[in-house]
Amino acid sequence: MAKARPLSGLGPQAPTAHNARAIVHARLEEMYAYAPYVESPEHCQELHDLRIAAKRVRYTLEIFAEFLPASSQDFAEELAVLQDELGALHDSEVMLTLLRSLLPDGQSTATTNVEQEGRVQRQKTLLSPGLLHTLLNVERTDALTNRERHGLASFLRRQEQRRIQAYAAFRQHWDQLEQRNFRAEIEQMLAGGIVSKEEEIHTTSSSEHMGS
Amino acid sequence: MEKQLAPVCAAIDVGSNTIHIVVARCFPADLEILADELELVRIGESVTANGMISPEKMQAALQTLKTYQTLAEQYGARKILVVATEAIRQASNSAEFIARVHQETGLEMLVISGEAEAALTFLGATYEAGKHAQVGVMDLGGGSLELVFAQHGQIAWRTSVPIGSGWLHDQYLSANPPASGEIEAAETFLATYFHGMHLPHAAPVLIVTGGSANSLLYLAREAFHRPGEQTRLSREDLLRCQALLSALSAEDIARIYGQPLARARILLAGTLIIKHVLNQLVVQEITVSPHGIREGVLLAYARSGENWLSAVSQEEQTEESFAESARKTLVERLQTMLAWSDEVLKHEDIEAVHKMRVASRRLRAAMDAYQPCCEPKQFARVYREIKRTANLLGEARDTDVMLHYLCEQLEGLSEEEREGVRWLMTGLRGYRQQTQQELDSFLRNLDGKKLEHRLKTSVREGELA
Repeated sequence: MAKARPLSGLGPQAPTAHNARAIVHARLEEMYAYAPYVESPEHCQELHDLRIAAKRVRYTLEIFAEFLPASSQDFAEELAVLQDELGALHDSEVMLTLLRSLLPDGQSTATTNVEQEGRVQRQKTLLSPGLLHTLLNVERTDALTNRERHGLASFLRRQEQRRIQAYAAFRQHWDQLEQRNFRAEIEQMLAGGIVSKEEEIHTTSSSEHMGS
Repeated sequence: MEKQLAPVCAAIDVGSNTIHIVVARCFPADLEILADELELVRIGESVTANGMISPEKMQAALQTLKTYQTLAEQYGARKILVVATEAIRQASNSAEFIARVHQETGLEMLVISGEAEAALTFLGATYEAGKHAQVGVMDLGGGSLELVFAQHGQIAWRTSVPIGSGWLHDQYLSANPPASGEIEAAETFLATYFHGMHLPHAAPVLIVTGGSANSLLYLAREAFHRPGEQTRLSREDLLRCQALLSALSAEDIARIYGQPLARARILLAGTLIIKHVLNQLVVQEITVSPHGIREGVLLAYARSGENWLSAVSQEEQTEESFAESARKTLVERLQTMLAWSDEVLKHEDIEAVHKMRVASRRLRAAMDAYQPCCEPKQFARVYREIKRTANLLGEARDTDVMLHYLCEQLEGLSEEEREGVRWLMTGLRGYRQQTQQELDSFLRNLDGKKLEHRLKTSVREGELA
């Protein structure tokens, strides 16, 4: 999972309203660093990171709600919807990866080496080793009947459809946000109502020498 | 003539260790103190142990308040003001206590905020000291210390630090007398901690209030024959007190120098804290004040009448600093997360795992947001622990979500698919039990109080604006 980038240069004694804006701005930049992957549904890890980054923007807006314009919470709500959509996409990806791990012998639909490598990588990043260890226990998998195996393979195909639908729902929402220039809207919100605060900061000159 | 007209009032402070009364003839800028008494009720002891005021402590506190009410009336007090601080703020049954105080004495006990407490303590501790362009006030208690710096009578910077004499003693100085290695470890901790705080170098006069400072002054008078009217302690005095307190047992200190034993035990810790704050501020001496919050309450009442508390709070309303909002938000979110722990351990409702996980995510988000004002090493340590909590909760919750989803799907599947999915669900349930065991064991060993303290102390301070 992508870590939040440590921020520097924010003074502990600077007004929270000032620092809050700088942090939202930085988290927004982190989120949009994943925007190029939106068009590639196969980049599931990056889309998952986009979800985490969107969540960080949302939580930051919520944490500093009292120091930001009221409209900041409308953006937080919009991000919550986006986060849910990416969450559904991620859940379907996890289920697919799990099923593919259980059905390694041709019942999954991987055709090329590259695809297979990608699946091994996903298995590592999306599933916990403890879960795999329990489910792939030899005694258990040996006991899996052909009928159960076929049933899981058929269920896997349903999950592939589910993933396509989840991606389509997310993508439609993302494109709408791009059309209305969602990022610029947030940045405008951050810029609004800050003038007097900046003036205060200059008069107290606290932020210049408190960054250590 | 003016003296005769000034009203007599009483202020009672219900604190963690003591209940303390001051009765005085009150002027807006001065007090003529008529009575000053304290009783060691130690309400905080039961609040620390159980989160609430025990029936015994409540009874003892009520008895003391009744005695003080009688005392105040004997002096003809026109008004008795009662304020309660940290222990009552923390106690889960504070509403019951307030109601009983009112029923049995008719007194209205006000639970004041930490900000109002700092402002009132500052007012009380400085009114006798005259006007200083710049002055600092340190109120050193058992569990925390409050530092306030003022310029021309206006509070310019303040902070509350969760390090007190009792706390330092319990953490580092348990031997009696403390071992040299223990003292060294305590000193290293204090030097590192205060260095990281970036205290303002702007207060040539430092007034110190609280039990430790007043006991040290008394010790210096007794042991080094300092004159009775002296209220200052130099750095050299502190070093001599430290040497004495390091060499003798608490029992010897209590017997030879007339200190209460409970105070004698923690006095070295108090000395070390004061010394390190002096080092950091580059100040050569402290002025010990016997006054504090009670005198502040009386002066505020003399100035503003019935609106005294809101007047003090309004004076205090400055823009919240980043460090202040960090400490407040982080602690609130940690407490919210920890509050779910018991429910998770009951295994009655899988939603408890979900709620605790959401709370852990919200805490981590707040930590990401406030990381810029935290001390990196200490912060990383707490962050790792929260992340471990979140990961364990996450593994359990993700499995619950998968099981829930699969269960929902069963109805719409073919018989063959259903059989496969049921096989998968059996495996997931087995894994879910394993995650719960791991989670249970982790949560049972999680020391919430220690974590909260580490989190609070990871927030750095800044310099005086």
